[in-house]
Amino acid sequence: MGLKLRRKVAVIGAGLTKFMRRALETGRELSFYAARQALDSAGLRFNDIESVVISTAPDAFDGVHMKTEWLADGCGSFHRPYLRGYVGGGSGVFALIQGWYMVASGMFDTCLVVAEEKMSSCQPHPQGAFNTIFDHTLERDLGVNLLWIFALEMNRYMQVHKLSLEEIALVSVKNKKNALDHPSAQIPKAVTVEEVLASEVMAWPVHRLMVSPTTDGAGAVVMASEDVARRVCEKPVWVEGVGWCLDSAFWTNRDLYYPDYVEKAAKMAYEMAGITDPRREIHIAEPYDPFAYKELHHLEGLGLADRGQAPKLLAKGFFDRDGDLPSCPSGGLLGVGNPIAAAGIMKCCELFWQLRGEAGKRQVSRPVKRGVAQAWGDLMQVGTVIVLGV
Amino acid sequence: MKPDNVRGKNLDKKGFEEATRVKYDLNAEYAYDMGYAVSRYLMGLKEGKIVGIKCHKCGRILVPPRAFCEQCYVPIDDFVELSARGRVNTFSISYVKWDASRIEKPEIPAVIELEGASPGVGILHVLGEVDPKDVHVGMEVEAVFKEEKDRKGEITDILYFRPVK
Amino acid sequence: MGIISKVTKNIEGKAHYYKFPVWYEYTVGVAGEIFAKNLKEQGLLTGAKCPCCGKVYLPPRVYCEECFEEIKEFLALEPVGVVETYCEVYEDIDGNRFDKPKVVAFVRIDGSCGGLFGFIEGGVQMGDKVKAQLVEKRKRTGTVSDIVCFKKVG
Repeated sequence: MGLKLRRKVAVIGAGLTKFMRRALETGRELSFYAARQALDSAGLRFNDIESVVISTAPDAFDGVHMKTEWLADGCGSFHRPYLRGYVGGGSGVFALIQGWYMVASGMFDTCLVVAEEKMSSCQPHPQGAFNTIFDHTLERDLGVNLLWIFALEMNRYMQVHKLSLEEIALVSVKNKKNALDHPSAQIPKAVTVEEVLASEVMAWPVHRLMVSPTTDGAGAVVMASEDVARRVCEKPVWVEGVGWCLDSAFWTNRDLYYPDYVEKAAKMAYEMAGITDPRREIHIAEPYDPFAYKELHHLEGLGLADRGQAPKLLAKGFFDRDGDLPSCPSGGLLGVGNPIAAAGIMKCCELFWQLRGEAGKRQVSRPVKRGVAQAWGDLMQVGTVIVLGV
Repeated sequence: MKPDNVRGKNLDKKGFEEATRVKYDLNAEYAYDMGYAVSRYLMGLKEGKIVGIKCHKCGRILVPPRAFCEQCYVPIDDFVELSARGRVNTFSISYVKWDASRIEKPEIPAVIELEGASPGVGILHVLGEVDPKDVHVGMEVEAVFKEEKDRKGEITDILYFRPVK
Repeated sequence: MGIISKVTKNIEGKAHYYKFPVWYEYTVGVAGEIFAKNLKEQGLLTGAKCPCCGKVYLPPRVYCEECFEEIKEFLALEPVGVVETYCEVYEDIDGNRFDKPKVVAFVRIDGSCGGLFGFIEGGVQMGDKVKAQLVEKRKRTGTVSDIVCFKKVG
């Protein structure tokens, strides 16, 4: 593809709300908390913001039609050009990709990027809002629910690589433990493999402690051109590569054991970043982990482990905070929470703080100069990838 | 340590019920057109058959049938009757329904690769007449259709897939 | 050969019906809870005042959209205001005709730069001063459904 960065763009501020099962706050209030925090941490004034990107996933969760337009003033969009980015769960990273090209294009020097989700409004349970993800004629009448597709994918992944539930449960153990040090975390907990496997079977092979919760929350970052970043920010975090890819919605016609779309998105981002050996050149990763097996699935798609080998490396401590390639040091979706669109931005915020040495108790042991965040969404379809570096 | 000053007030179940809330019934109903490819598929189901479609460009035989090949991006209309037998590509044993309520007797969704379709091409359906313990990837299964008089041209004209004896 | 030539041949087209089975329960938020309290307990509306530009928002919110500053000052306001615009509605959402047309107005509430929609009873003209008629105190929920209608004063 021969992509070359036209104009350097940096992330110069970040903010995150608490991630909660049921927030008192409305979606707009949550967006404001996160956006204001990001703006303050960037050291910019509101008038310095020239454009806004808002990412929020199905309108069906908050139950507000044209959700972004409704959230807009809480996201700082008053009288400003704004863009909505929506690729389901992939939105949180996709939002930064869109913020990137708002600034890289030369049209704007700054962009406030906000991601929000308020799932708790949806009754009888937010899971119900996912029903429409399935084909209206050929699938919904079978009594589908969202857990099915993850369970089907997890089973396929385990079958092809001959993996055990214990190997997968280690992801829950790692991430929920990492989340104990995250101030926003919804369900941080020290659990053992035995406890994970003893937890309720929801849709075999998925156990309850292998699933991320439904969450209300918001996150935001401020992105700026090189000029602005160098003037106001002591340690800008540069966007080095972006990539995104969509696979077919005919998900029963694909082999689910490997996420091709993540590999293609990663390839696009790595090429832009000039990365030829991701396992050496990426120092920290935040792959999307809505289910425990998904982190492993995505690490392989990102090229950070051979196919089927991520569980082996995990068992050796390779992906721990003090390991060679820390993965989900934030605690991921399994520990911090999963407010669909905002989950990905939480991962980007984590990279921002880790690369600047501001992650406190979560700070990884090894020196880090370059990290990758990845989000996933839709019907096992979307890969969105961003490489950030200092 | 970042993030600092995280804001947001979590409500537990009781707190949510005590908060001021506004209820809204969405009442959204839809009447979806099938399109010509899925219509043909459903007509086939009514007749007790499973119909796929062939792409003349890449040669893949696909099911559910579609009006264009999504990889070649050309219109296709070469319908092909497939077998009602296949193999389980992957499955799950589910104790949870769409509204997060629990059920005692599990449902067994599966992706079934149908004979006659290209490798790896399958459909979503459920398994029946089988002990969950006995289900395995690669298991040979066959479709069990409703009685002819009860078929309506819907995916549920197939009741379930059961293991081939 | 395109698709069009085959579309009308031998295909039984029909529609597939689906009802989206969810409903919503929205929390009113931090600002909304203050609005609810004032309305339930005192029969008063609530405005939110920006510390920077002084604009008073109604319905209240926790941020000023123009200054993007946090708002912490909430003012209790009398439910009186001026009809800024109105319309007459003859049909319901399903197209059924009302016996008598309903009048819906946007009322700019005094002391704020905001306002509320409400039904008007007893005739209306642009610029009329109106006051909200509330449901009795013990039945209030703290939301705008507590306002039965607006009526002309003076």
